[in-house]
Amino acid sequence: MSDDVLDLGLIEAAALVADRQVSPVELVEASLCRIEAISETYAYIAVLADDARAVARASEVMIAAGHRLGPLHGVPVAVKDNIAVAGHPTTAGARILADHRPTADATVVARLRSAGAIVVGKTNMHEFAWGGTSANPHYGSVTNPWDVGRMPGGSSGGSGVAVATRSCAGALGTDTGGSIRLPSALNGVTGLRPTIGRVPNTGVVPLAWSMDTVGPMARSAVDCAAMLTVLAGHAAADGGPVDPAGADRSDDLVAGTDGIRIGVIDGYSFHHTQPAVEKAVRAALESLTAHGARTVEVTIDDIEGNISAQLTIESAEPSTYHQRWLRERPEDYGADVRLLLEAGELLPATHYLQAQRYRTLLRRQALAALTTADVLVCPTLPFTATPLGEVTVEIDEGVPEDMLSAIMQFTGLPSLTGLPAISVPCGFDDAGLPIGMQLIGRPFAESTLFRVAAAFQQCTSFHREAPPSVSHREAPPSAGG
Amino acid sequence: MSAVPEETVRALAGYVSLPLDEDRLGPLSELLGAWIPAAETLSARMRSVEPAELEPVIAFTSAQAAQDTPRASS
Repeated sequence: MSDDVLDLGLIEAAALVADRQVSPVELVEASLCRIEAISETYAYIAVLADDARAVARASEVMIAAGHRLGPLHGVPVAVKDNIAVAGHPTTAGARILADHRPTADATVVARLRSAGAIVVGKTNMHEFAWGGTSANPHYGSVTNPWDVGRMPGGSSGGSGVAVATRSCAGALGTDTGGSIRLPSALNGVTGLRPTIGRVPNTGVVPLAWSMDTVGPMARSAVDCAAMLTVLAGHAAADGGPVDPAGADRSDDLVAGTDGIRIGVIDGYSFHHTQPAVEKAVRAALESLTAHGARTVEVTIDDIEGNISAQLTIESAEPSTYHQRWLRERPEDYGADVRLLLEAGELLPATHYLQAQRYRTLLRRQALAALTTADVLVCPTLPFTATPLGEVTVEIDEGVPEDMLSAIMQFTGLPSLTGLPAISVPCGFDDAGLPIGMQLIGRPFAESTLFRVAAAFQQCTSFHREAPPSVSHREAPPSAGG
Repeated sequence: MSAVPEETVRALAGYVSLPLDEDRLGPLSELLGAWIPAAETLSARMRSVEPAELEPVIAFTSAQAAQDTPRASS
């Protein structure tokens, strides 16, 4: 079985299936082979081989008969394990949910299936999504395919690795404080946190109710856009705000960056980052301006305080959800998550509500900045992948900082304000580890993010680079992209 | 940051009926010693923010009707 088909992007694979040049069976078999080959990364908690093969055979029969279910017909995808897939494990990376088998698909999974996608597996994650490293004491700690001695980011670490290793054409992640964008950056893939309310959360195990989102992870912005088109739209059962726009996000994908105003946040966008990260994001910005965009300086006066607000909200809400289990089965939690859940029980209610008021203030200031800029730019996170098991990170040399706080430095602004944000591969550090650039947009303006990201990816090749273990046909990483 | 005294952690846990073994107190007192002062700094700033009527974000986005979503509290 050739695995060359795994080098196809999601849209390319879908187009070739539609033209009957590639069969869904071939795609799924190659996918399952790759999943087995990367098993040492612990990217998957469950592989749905029998189901995927059965669906692939049916998809092949359908396409041969001229019937295409939808734009993702026959394309293998992976689903983070806190998102329900009917009849299959949905553990959220937790021992507590080891036996949980939902009877219905999450809305996002049902939509992927309706579009013809084939679910090949459930991806590993930080337990209950409460952490940024995907170190998991129950299902194995996910490792970074660019350096297996390093962490892949989280909490959607398995989805990031699954996409980076080409074991699927796209994957679903969830993002509360950065859990799609962080593993996207650290694994060299593209990932979108949609505007809050754009994609239904129905059937997703919650982390923090007021911040949770589901979103796509794939190799390119155009692939993410294709997935979002399928995923987006309000669901009657969902408690969130209504998505006011139509479903198609593809209008602007080839519009380029001419005239686009990219906002650099004064004292924030390039503040307190590792030198290689700053260098790569600045180079990406230069590339965009060379293609017609222009930079504008913007201010967000009250940006300081965002990490504390995230920690307060992301502690109080999960601790409320977990209260019963924390009293009845505390020993079934991993040590780090148990500590965070216990701490969240002891925070003052006024701190929680002042943090929620701060979100309103921060959103107003971010929206004001987005009147003079079309998108805002900063790194996705201020450092590259750290060694497995580390709980601190050095951004300034010789100064260890708490990992959880440091990893939220740049992802918190969209998480707190509900604005959409995309992480785009934009370079590598001296050790060959991927670096991500984050673009933040106006509410429900994902199309602008895709437009800028797609233009960047048309003139660079970072998103096409593959980790050493799967890069048999591709060039090694280079600083020039 | 100073750790929150362990006896304070024990008392707070008692008020919310959260059983804690003695070995839990040290890590919790350290963590809360970092978080609570930072949260209080933000809270103090928010006390003086205008307008005072600034409301908290309270849009909870998870499905209320998803029967399959496991619930610890039910």
